[in-house]
Amino acid sequence: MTVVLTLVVVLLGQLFVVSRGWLGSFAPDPLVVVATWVALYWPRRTALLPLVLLGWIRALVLVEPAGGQVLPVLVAAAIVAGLRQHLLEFREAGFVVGALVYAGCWSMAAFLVSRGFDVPLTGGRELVLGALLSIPLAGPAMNAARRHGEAT
Amino acid sequence: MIVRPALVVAALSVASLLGVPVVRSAEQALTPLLRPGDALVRACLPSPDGIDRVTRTADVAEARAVWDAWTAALRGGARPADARRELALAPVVEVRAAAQELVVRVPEDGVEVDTPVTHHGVLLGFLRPWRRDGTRVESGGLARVALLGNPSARPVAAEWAVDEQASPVQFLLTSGKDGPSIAHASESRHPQPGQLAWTRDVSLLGDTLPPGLIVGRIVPEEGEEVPGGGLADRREVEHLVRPLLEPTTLGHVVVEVAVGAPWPLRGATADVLASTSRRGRLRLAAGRWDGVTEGDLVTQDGVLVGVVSSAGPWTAEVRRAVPPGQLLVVSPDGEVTPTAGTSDDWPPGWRPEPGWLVVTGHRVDGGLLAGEVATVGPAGLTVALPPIDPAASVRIVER
Repeated sequence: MTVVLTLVVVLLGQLFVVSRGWLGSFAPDPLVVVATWVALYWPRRTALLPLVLLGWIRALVLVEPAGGQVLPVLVAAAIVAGLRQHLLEFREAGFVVGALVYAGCWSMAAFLVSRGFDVPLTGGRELVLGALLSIPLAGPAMNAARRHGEAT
Repeated sequence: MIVRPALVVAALSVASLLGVPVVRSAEQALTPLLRPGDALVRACLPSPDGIDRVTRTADVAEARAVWDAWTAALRGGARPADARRELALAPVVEVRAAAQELVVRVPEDGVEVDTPVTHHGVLLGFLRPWRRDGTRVESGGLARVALLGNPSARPVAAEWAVDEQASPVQFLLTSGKDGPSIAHASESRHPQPGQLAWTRDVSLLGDTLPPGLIVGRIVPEEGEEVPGGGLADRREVEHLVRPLLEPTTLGHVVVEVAVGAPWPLRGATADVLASTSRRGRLRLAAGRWDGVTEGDLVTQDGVLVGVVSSAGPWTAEVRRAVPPGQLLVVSPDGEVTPTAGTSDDWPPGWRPEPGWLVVTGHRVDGGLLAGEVATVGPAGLTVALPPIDPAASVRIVER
C-alpha cells in the first residue's frame, strides 16, 4: 500500500507542478488531502513512512530541503491524528475539517521552520486551497479508506 | 515504538535544513521517481516567456567582448618569465582570510613554487607548496597563494620614488607582525603617506619577478604619534605597505603557468527537469555520478544559468544566482566597472542603474551573460538572471 501511495504522491506532485505553471501560487496542493487521509485512516504504527515520503516528494518538486517539508507534515499529522476520533464521527464533514486543520498546522509549522532555519519554504495559500479539494474528494477518500481497512 | 524512528527522521530533517551536504545529497535519491512523467509534465506546462533571440545573441556577444577586454587588462604589467610560460586567469575557489591565503585553480603540474600572483598589475602574493612540509605546489588542480604579509610569502625587492626623475628608494618588502613592512631601505628618506611602491628589476641577481608590479601604498605604522601632539622622530617611524586591492574580494587572479599545461576541467551536459516548480531554483538530470559537484557553474549558450547548490547521485539542484566573485557591470555608454556586487568596492561616485548589463565569466567558456542589474541598494546590487530555455540542455562546468 505504501508503494501505491508513493506513486500517487509522485503523480499528484507532478500535477501540482503543472497547476503551478498555470495558476502560480493560486494552485491548490492536492497532497494535503493525501496527508489528511493518511493521518485519519492509516494505522498509526506504520504512518511515519508514508508521511515522510509525502513530505520528501513535495520537497523534491519544490526544490527545497526535504526536512523543511517532512517536519511540518509530521507535526500536522500528529495534531490531526490526535483529533482522529472526533473527526471520524462526522464522516465526510470530519474529513474536510481535518484537511483544513492539516493545512493550517502544516502552514504554521512550515512558517516557523522557515523562520527558524532561514530557509524559504512553500506553504500557506497552496495548502489551504488544497484542503478545499477535500470537499469533492471526501467521499472517494472514505471509500478508499474502507478498502484500505479491508486490505489491512 | 514509533517514537525512535520519528526522532531519527526529525534529526535528519534538521540536518537537511541546516544544509548538511551528505543529507542534502542523499535526499535527492528519490528524484528518479519524477523522471517517467517528466516529459508529460513538460508537455502540459505553459510555454515559457519567449526569449528575444536577436537581443540575446547581441548581449552574449557583448558579454564575451567585455570579458575578453577585462581579462586582457587583468594581466596588467605582468609578463611571463620566459617563453615557456604564459599568464593565465585563475579563479579563486577559496578565501582563507585568517591565514592570509587564497586557494586558486591552476593547471595540473603547470605551476612552480614562488610563482607571482597578480591582478591588474598589482602583486598579490606567491604560490606556495600545497602542504607546508612539502614541495609540490599543485594538488588536484588547486594551489595555495600566500598573500603579501603572510610569513610564508617570500621577500620582494621593491622601490618607491616621488616622481620619475627622482632617484628611487629601494627596500625589501618583508612580512611584519602587522602585514607587509619595509626593511633594509637604501635611504633614510621617508615617503609621503600613501606613496605607491612597486617591484624593482633584480634580474641580474637571478630574481625573475617582473619589475613594476605595484605592491601597495606605504603608510606609517599606527601608534607612532608622539604623546602631546609633538613631532615624531621620523627616523624612528616604521612603515607598512598596505595592499592596493583587497585580495579576499577577488574572483580571479593572474598566474604564470607552463604553456600547454592541462587545466582540470570537469564538465557535463544535462537536461533541466520539468517536474520542479520554484522560482530561482532548477533541478538537473545529472548528479555526482556524472561528475557534478556543489559550486559548479551552469551555463546555456553563453548565458549564466546559476550555480549548483546541491548534488545528489543522479540529479543536482541549481540556484539561479550569480557565483561569488567578480562581476562586470556595463553602463549603456559602454563603461565597464568590476565589482563583487557589494557597494564596498564601488568606485567613488559610481552607482549602477537597474537594467545595466552584468557580465561574469569562466576560465574556459569565457564571458557569460549574467543578466542585468535588478535593484541597487545601500549594501550593493542584485542581478536579475536572464530567462533560459527549459527545453534545451545546459552545460555544467567546474569553476
